[in-house]
Amino acid sequence: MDKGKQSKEIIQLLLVGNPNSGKSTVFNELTGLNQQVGNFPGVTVEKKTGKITLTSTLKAQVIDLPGTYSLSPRSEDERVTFDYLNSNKTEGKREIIVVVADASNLRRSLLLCSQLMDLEKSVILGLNMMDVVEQNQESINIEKLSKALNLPIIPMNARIGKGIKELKQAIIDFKEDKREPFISPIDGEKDVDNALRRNQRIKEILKETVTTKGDKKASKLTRKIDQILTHRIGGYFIFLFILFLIFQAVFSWSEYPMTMIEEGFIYFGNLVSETFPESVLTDLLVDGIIAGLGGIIIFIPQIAALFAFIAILEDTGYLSRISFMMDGLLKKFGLNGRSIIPLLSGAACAVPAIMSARTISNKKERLLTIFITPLISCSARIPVYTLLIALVIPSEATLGIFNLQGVVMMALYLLGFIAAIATSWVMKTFIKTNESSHFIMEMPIYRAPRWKNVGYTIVNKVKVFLFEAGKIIIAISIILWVMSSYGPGDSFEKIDQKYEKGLLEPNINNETMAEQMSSEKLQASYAGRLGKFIEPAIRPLGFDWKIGISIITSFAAREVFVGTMATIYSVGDADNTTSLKEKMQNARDPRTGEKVYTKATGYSLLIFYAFALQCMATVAIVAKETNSWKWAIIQVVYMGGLAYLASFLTYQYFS
Amino acid sequence: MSQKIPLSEAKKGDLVTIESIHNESLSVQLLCMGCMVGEEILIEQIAPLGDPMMISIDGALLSLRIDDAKEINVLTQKEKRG
Repeated sequence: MDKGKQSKEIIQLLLVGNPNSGKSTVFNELTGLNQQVGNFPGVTVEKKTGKITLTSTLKAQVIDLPGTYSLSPRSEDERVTFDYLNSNKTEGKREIIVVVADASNLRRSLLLCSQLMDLEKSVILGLNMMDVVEQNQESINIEKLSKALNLPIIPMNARIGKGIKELKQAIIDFKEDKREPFISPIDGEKDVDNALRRNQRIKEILKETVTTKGDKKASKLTRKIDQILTHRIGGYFIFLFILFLIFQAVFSWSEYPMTMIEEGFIYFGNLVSETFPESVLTDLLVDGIIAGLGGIIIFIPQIAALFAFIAILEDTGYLSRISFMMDGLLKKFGLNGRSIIPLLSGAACAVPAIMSARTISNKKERLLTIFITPLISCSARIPVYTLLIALVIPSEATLGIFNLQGVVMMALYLLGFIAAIATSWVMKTFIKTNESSHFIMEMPIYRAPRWKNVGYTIVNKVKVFLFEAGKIIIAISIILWVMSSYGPGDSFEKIDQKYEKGLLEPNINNETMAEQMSSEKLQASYAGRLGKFIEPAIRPLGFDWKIGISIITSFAAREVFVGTMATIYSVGDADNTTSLKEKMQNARDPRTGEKVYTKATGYSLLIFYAFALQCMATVAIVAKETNSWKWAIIQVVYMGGLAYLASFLTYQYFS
Repeated sequence: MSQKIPLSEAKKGDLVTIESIHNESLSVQLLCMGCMVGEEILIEQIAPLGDPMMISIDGALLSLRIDDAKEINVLTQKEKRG
């Protein structure tokens, strides 16, 4: 190294390669945990960047470009790579491209590589998965190939870190060389002919450099496993079992850490409110910020559990088989074979489910999947369903031989699923796409999962959720807190004064008084007033203003409905659903003297919560994942409209 | 006897050769994935609903929707894989 030279150079290192070439593994091996995940500007394609130090004077900014087969883009992912390579975003930095190639499928990798060479880029070829080449009883004459292509070539097996050191050295040593074009350019040549000429040239080169013993066939082991895993009957049983495991993980295994997080935050909130003097700031801290943070962090176990599974499925190659098996069915609804994972996970929680739609590369199919996932009944609806079902359906009621409560619960889940599928079926005709409609997908060979990659996936997904969606969730939490803790004018002071006198009197139960006070305050708050204000609009659905308030506050999350109802009916403890149920059962309309919670109102409210997008975390994650508020807002309006209409019809039918 | 049929009509286990591809954008895409006229294709699997099909070509496994397979003409070589 030239120590006299003080200037430090930063180069831009672009990783380019086919999907399934092990590019991400190379990226992880190069950067370690020193990586950031974001989006490419204007699109929803994940951008991974990282910094590495090569020598004391040379650093590199590594950018992992989305996998692509060629420089004629056909999907949003490929367009990003295409645009990135065609515009010079080097900011004055020297640019080196590392093409990561699957050495066992050289022909395809070399096509992309040759296109880059003809763009006059500085290219290093990393021949990854050399272990598979050996398994296939092939051998590649690296030296000869390097000479034929006039490129530095590094044989690698990134899964075990082999070749990473050599790759770094090649980057350090890289020298610009004058190169002949790979194929001589012809003006106005069609893409087809160009690709054909490249393929022919590559075939010639490979004939000279690659020797194969025996006939070239897809990996024997993979084909044997495929006979079982994609079997027309057995394959579905295995798939169902795996789906069941995923569902269990997101639904019940996550419950324990989630309860711990929830209790931790309640404890912490209590601690803060006890330590600090009673003030607006303390209230904001406890009920606004800490509660909001708790509402975000609670999602981490589910996100981690789902993405652990997805990373394993993707890494092993099984995810592509799921796509293969389900595509025929889901295609009819404008979805992708892979949509099954978000749709199923949506039954636990829409937030990680929507994040998992990223594995769908077709933009339209992905958008449709994101759009319909929140219609699947998630676990947050269970407390609402449970309370309302218990309220309007006697536990001894039956439908035939079945318990009616169970039937209604089941029907609500089914309803959500049908609404989701139907929505997709209708919407597929409205969403236009400029992506090619061809759907050719490579099925990678089966391999053992790399636990490091699984770990990176989990860390990255949790980070994205916390820092991107988290911001939006905190903001909405604070707005909702202000709405339910403040009222116009001096309405709150009046309530305070009223109860101050009362509390001084003996003989009156202080706890009951405090409950009544918070109930009155909620009613006098902005949220309360808004609830009363919208009463005329929700009357046709059978709802009164109390339900109106609960609908507004439970925009934070559906289960808040139960808590708000408890406060309004001044039950005190939100967990005490028995007494809440009794109070609600006895509630009567002051104008007519009739019961508020009739069968019609109960069913109508159930339907409302089945359809309405009452979940700010979902709104936030949709805005984040689609990279615009447009779809988040369309979704809120669509699901709200659907809920309103369906509730209206339900109420009118039953009353 | 070799026979010309659309790829969509090939059966599981058939070994065929690509004769022509009608759709130009499909053709480019297939070329980029290493499939060109004259190449041998083995039909590995057909999904239960008859769509998509899994083929192997030059050592790689690809999944292809039937709509796309209709655009590809192939020559049958052997009745069944031995």
